Amino acid sequence: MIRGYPESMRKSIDKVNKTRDKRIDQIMKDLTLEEREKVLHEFHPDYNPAYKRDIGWGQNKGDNVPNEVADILESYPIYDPDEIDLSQIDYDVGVLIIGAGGAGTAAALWTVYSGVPKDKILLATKLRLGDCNTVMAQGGIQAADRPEDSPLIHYLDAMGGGHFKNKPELVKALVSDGPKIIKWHKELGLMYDQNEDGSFVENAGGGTSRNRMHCAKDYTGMEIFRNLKDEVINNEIPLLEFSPAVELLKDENGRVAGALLYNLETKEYSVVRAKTTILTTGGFGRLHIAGFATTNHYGATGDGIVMAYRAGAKLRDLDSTQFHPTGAAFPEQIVGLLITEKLRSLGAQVLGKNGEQICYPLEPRDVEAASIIKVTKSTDNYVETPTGMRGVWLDSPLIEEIRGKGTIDKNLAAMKRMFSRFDIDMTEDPILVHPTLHYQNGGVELDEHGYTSVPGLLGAGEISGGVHGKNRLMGNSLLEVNVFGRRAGISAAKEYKRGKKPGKLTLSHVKKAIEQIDTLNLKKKRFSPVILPEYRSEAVRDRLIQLFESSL
Amino acid sequence: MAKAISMREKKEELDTVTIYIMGQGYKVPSSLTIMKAMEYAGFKLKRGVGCRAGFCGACATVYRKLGDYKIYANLACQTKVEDGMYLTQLPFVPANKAEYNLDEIKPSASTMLRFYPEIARCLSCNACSRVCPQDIQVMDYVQYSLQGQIDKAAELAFDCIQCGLCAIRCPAEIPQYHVATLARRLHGRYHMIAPDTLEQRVKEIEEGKYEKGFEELMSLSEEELKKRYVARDFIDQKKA
Amino acid sequence: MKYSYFPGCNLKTNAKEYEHTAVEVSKILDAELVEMPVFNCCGTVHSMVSDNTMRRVAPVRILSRSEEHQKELEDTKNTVVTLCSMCSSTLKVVNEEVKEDEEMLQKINWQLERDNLKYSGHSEVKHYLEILRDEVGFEEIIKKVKKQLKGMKIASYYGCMLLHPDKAKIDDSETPTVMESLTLALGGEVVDWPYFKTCCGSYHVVDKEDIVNNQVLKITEGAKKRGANAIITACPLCAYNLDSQQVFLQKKGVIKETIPVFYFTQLMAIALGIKLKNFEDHHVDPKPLLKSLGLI
Repeated sequence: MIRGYPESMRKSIDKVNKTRDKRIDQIMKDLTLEEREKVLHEFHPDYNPAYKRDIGWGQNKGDNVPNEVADILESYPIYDPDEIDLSQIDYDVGVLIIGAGGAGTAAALWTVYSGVPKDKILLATKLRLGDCNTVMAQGGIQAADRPEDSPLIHYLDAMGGGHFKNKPELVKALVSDGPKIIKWHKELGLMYDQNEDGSFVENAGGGTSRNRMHCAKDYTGMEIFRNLKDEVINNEIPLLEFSPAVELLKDENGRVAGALLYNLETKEYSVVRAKTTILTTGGFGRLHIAGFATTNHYGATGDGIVMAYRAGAKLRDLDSTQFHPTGAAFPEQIVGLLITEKLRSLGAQVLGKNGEQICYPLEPRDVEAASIIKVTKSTDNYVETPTGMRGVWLDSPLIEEIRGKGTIDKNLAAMKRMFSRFDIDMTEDPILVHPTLHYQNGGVELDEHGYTSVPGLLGAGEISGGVHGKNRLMGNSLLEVNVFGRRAGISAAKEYKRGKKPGKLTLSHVKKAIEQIDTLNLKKKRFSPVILPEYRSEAVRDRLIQLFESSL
Repeated sequence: MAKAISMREKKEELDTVTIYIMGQGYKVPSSLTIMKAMEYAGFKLKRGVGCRAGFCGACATVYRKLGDYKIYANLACQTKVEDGMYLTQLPFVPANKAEYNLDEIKPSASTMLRFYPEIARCLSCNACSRVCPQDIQVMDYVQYSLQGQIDKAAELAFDCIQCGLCAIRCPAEIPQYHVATLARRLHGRYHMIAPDTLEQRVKEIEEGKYEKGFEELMSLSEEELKKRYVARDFIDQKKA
Repeated sequence: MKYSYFPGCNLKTNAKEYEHTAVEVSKILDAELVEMPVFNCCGTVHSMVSDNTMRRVAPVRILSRSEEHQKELEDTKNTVVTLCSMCSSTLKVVNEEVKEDEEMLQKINWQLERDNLKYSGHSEVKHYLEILRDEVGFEEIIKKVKKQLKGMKIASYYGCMLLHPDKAKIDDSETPTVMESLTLALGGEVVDWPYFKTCCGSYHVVDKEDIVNNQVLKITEGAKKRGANAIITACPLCAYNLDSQQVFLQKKGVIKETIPVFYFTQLMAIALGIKLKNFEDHHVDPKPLLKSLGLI
């Protein structure tokens, strides 16, 4: 190992380092819409029929989705509905929020701000407050607040990025609320980076035509979340941790009226009755769509889409999955982890093994990812690691060539720290990247106020579909969790004020779902929601046995 | 005390190391992080696991190495296993967070002392900084807070992921990472003032300045919208 | 000449004007105070029991960090300079202790080892008054005076920490002269009075305010009786107690007249022609006096 890299990779690094001066002003042309289509069809996993199949039952029957998504939808509940006593209510609240990530906490806060008494709110989450993808978001949050920018330009960028399949009202809501959200964040004391003249630091992102990416070094998501979390505690919002929802409950009128929670530690269930339920459970990265490694949080197992689907909510755009163009490909310990797009925003180029550029660095994410997969799959212009992982170079030292020494320390502290833990200095040497599973583009369909197609159920954040169409742009997800978390909170408060008490709780919708799943004649009986992914070694899993606990 | 190692795990022809998880010995592949090694050994993690990428602070882990008196601490998801590591996780840290209304307080030493009077007990031993997986100079930001240098405290504490290791090591029983949150929020709110352009834009949107534009864009067919998209101009993207 | 300056906590919070005027004055006198980049509490709040090594880590950490700072400064001495007399006393005592007890120094250095710090034992701790007297010299100050403090009748208040204990004193503990000499150099009048080192009540202001009130009453009345129209001090806590408690006593009707309290550096700044930033930290308004004497 020489400064973190094996000798075999060093040869290629030398070429990258030698060609840097020549490349500094060399601009690759971006692709036309037609060229984009071509590379996507040939190389993006979304377009590979082998990874997908049609959903077999329910309101989205026939929709073509990744096999892993079809698997969890075509699964039985992980409990026996007949064993649940719904007459015993453990928590009786006005607003139940399931999932305490970015969207859930924003929703909880705006529920309070909109006048719901705090003891009428319950924020339940699978792991800890803040175990979510929001804290991992590095690059930034979009908001069109500069004079040369406008919400209309932001709208156009987002629609184009999403291949014009986005739901227009949602995009309008997203871009119109952007500046408002930044204003709110500043009132909360967020430390967004500022230039010396007091203006915000705003960078470009893939597919944006203006600089509108606000950031807090490369800890943007964490800085947002730390503040929301602090406010949740200051506002004394009741919180249940290690208590994932395993099913939504309905009342006899077909309205969603709470949820069944499961205590991961004591293994008991509890019944929550709620006038309104907001689903903010996040995405599905830990399902490892198409076998890809992921940037996602441990708890991102797509539970929300399963529960919403069984409750009758319409899903959309789940055919498309976002693969982030740059996941770490070396060292092995961090394969798949996010290398923020901000590197490319700041000028890093994407290079083949001899140090020549292979694509325009700031294409929309799906196009950029497909362009990199093209190189590793159909050419020999990639770099192979000792464990056989293929990748291309991201020329991080170029950032300081362009913007001066210290830029990486100042703007990419998290990235630098991650690599330095493995003896790699990204200010001196490039880093190896390969696309990685990043984001659930589609999900539960919402309207612009956060309502799903089922009464009593709202949603916000990555669980939702429609905002990003078939592909999300960088910085629109941190914006989304705040915009739609806020909107869902406001809507839930309205429901709270007008709503009558929910009727008798029932799981009849689940029993109906079971009947439909029975008709699929599954070869192997599957159960969902997944709750946590399985990473124990096979040697261990082969020996697992079920003990009858009462005898212990 | 010698620890027994299972034969079954020994059989595998891998480059392995032996680690001791809460005292129990396991052979695991040497290329793994502590977190993946625990999973490999058979632990299905519920606590002590989170983002798996060094951002969430869930997997604080404390360890010693055989024959070395020093205490080490790091994130399980970001640290490679070493032969002879004796480790335990600290998945939860009991530490009180003060409650406050940011609107009603000012960035000053007296604010810091009001909510966290224990910072005055800091002995300057620096145990907190030594244990920080983010290499933050924790003691220094506690001292900056005491001195009322809130800006410096906030900036020094910026990379904190709130794992709580500092609070566990502190002989003065200070919850440093909560102190840091207060300092950052005071700094972000009262020193880093948003530019006027932000308020300006919020006002424009609220007054409906863009409604007509949206109406027009939303009425376009996909083909027309595509034309607009392709024709949009790009403004100097190299400047921040 | 530049000095590695250790501010401590109070100079950054309650005594900003003390620091501001001292730093400005120091530039004019070419005995410049350059702040250490990072520093911690001097440790005075941790009691100095004789057998506890751990509680000496804080002051020794400052001494070692100052040594690092001294390496960065050009034209400097092996000196850590303080303005707060509490910090001065704490650092001086511990510095002497570790100089005398190599074993203790080694124990503390072991605690600092993992922070890559080590104190050699070769630094000197000085209060800025000592620098003015011994290194700048009053003759030099007289040369720089632009406006004599005519009509100012100044009672020099030393408090406890500048004169005690022996290891920490900056002057003769019964007949100190440094502040008086400074007063003369600035063109003010020296008031001879007995309460120059009567304790101000110190931290009791937090829990037993009446103790402080009694002390302050004794001190300020004593100064006024001897004809003083101003008190000068070198300690933020003394200044706070003398200043704020007078206003309290006045409100309660115990006293009628108050007497303004200054840091010696504030008066130096006036005499050397430096514009004062503000008097916000003062409880007793000093402006009427200064205006009546034509000093502002």
